[in-house]
Amino acid sequence: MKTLINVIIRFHLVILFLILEIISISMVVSDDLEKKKVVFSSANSISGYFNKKINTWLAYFTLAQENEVLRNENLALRNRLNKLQALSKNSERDTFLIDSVKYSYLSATVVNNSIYKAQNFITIDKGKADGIKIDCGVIGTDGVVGVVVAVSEHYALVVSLLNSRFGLSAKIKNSNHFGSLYWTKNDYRYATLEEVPNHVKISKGDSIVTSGFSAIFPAGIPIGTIEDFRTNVSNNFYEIDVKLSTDFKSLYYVYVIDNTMRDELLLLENSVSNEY
Amino acid sequence: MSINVLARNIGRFLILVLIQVFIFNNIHLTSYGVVPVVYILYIILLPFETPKWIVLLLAFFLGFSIDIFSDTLGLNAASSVLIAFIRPGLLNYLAPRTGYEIGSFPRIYYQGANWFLKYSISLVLIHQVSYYLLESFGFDNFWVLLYKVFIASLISMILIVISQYTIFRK
Repeated sequence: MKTLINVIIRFHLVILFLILEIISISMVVSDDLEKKKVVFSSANSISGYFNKKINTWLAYFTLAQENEVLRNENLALRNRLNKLQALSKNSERDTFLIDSVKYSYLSATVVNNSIYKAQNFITIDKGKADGIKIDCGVIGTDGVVGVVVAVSEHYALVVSLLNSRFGLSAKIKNSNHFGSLYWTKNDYRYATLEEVPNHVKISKGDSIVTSGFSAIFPAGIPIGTIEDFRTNVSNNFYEIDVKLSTDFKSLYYVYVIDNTMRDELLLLENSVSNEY
Repeated sequence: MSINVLARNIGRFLILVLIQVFIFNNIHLTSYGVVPVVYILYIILLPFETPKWIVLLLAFFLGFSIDIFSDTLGLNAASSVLIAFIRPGLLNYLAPRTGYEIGSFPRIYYQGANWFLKYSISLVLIHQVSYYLLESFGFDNFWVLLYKVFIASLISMILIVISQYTIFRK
């Protein structure tokens, strides 16, 4: 016992150093998206408050550009509305509405965004108080942005598509073949689509959209277009480079999607997996 | 350590964290978006006679605070603790034959530019190498990593030296 105490006293610096390093590195390694603590993230109230202040100043510089983006989106939505109205006049049934009723949308502003790290996160200025929950999907004007992983009272932390620990179920719009989308290149403009079997005919420029298999995103939300692809001989799958449609560098307004039937869906899935 | 020095150090801690996370974290250099790190000035500038275990603990909390704000849990903490551990040995190695003068600080004004450059470049480089290695875990290729470390260290050093001729003159 005495020698142990002597050793501790003698090497107290090395011991303290090792303890602190082990704590830090285990934080790096075990930084799971599911266990993200909101207090230890940029979505905590102090960080959120300051970031929001700074962002309101910076927003003035990009106001014109943002207006342009929103005007274009309005135009596109107006055109779709016209088409849908024409459709609903012609048909007796309005079953096509069922899918969209499941999802509710909220608008939010990005207050903190990173694109250059290996693990990128986004902070938005809406939180628990506004009805945002963990696992809500986040999309921008041009397509998928990420998924909410932690919420505080007035802010939410979103894991960006640009995060090497994040995967997304995606499909090729024309052929409906699906695969998993990962961010592997450390370039904010590209992601990689894997697990698409290589008997499928694909070509450069094909659109990639969400598959709708998870309870997070509705089907058909744009992700990007095929930039290039390679066949992987060893496992009969393609490796597809996808040019992302969302410009993560100038992200400002986003929409948070809540699946109002998620609880029911998860309950069903869980009950099945418990029985078999 | 007198109350005055203590208060000044706490103030410097808070100010450097705020400046780092709300100003310098928003500056992205080159196409890899390298961020200059100025918060390690805090560890660099701690008085010579600060107990080593306190330096370690301070470095941990400093890095951890930066991590919380930039969503890089553990990365800055690990790198800062590493340089805090290396610092006493480095100070010993760089010490003049007669030892450091009592009442002097690790700054250009007291120790000269030559000494300060050797001292701070070593710490900044070790910090950046550790940071980018831990961040990428094999995600980046070697040359990209080296390039990031070089640019980040260069810009950080320029800022640190500028601070020596403006804010921390005495």
